[in-house]
Amino acid sequence: MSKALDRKRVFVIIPAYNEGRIIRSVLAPLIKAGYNVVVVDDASADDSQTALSYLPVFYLRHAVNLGQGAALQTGISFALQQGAEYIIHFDADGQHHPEDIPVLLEPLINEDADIVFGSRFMRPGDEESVPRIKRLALRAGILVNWVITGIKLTDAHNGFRALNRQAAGRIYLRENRYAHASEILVQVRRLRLRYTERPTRIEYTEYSKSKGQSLWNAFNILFDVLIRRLIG
Amino acid sequence: MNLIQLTLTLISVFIVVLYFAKMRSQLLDRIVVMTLFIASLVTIIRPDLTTTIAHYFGVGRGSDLVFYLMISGLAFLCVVLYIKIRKLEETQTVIVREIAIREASRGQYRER
Repeated sequence: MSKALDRKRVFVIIPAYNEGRIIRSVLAPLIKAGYNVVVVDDASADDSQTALSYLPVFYLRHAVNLGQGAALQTGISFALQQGAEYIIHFDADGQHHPEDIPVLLEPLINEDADIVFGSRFMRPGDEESVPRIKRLALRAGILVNWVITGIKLTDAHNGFRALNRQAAGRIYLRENRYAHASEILVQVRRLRLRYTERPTRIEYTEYSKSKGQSLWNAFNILFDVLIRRLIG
Repeated sequence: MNLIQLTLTLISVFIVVLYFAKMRSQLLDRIVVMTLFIASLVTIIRPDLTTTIAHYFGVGRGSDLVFYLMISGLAFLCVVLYIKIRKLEETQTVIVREIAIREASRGQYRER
């Protein structure tokens, strides 16, 4: 890394819905690394709130469940108010690795990009950890995103991203549910933001698999994406 | 006037009265509702008129024409309602987000 990074200027946004069982273990390494952590509790029905009450993280709670995209945007708006310089999107189920954060930040710090996408298909070896059927669905997702948004990435619906302050402030997510991943691409294109990808590892634990979206949900996402293109 | 005509007339009148009693809407909406109301009354009292109009459009029976128009109308209504619901969702999101940001808290680190 060419320039020194003050981790207090980095805000890690974690949308959480019923992750009380695991959230402390996901947050611990992030806190230890010195990042600002913003947890957006999307009206969880479990004990997420008490699980977090003793941790030095920002805790925001939606009064009603709105969806992952909405929770992400809430966290981004809040982090920008707090003066965040860099923003990381991070999943609450423990499938991302905190050590990958500096890798994602590097192009931002060197001012080569405004937004950096994590990809599980850039490095040989990362790919093998992805279950075969999921790989197929993601390949289809990559294609759909390419056709609809004009941006071709090596991965789709990877929740691990890094944005600089300018990009985070200009992108505004209106898709409350999962279609926000495609929506980000649409806005990156429209706002002419500079983007790039970096390899990140994904951990498919039994827990993250059980929490992950079912393949059928891909059709819901597709529907949301198409509707948005049609009626704005 | 036979029984079905009476029933349909009462339903139409009920819907329009309900609309004007409960809704404060724009002039355009009111004109549309009144037009539909009058059209329905006319077709209830003189059903044969729909057949005349249907022939003009190249449709054999009046009830078929009414059926086609009804399907189109309902489809249109679905789209309008869908857009309205999305707008409502967006408004709700803004409110919920605003509250969440205002009431953000930061825990103190304490080993348990």
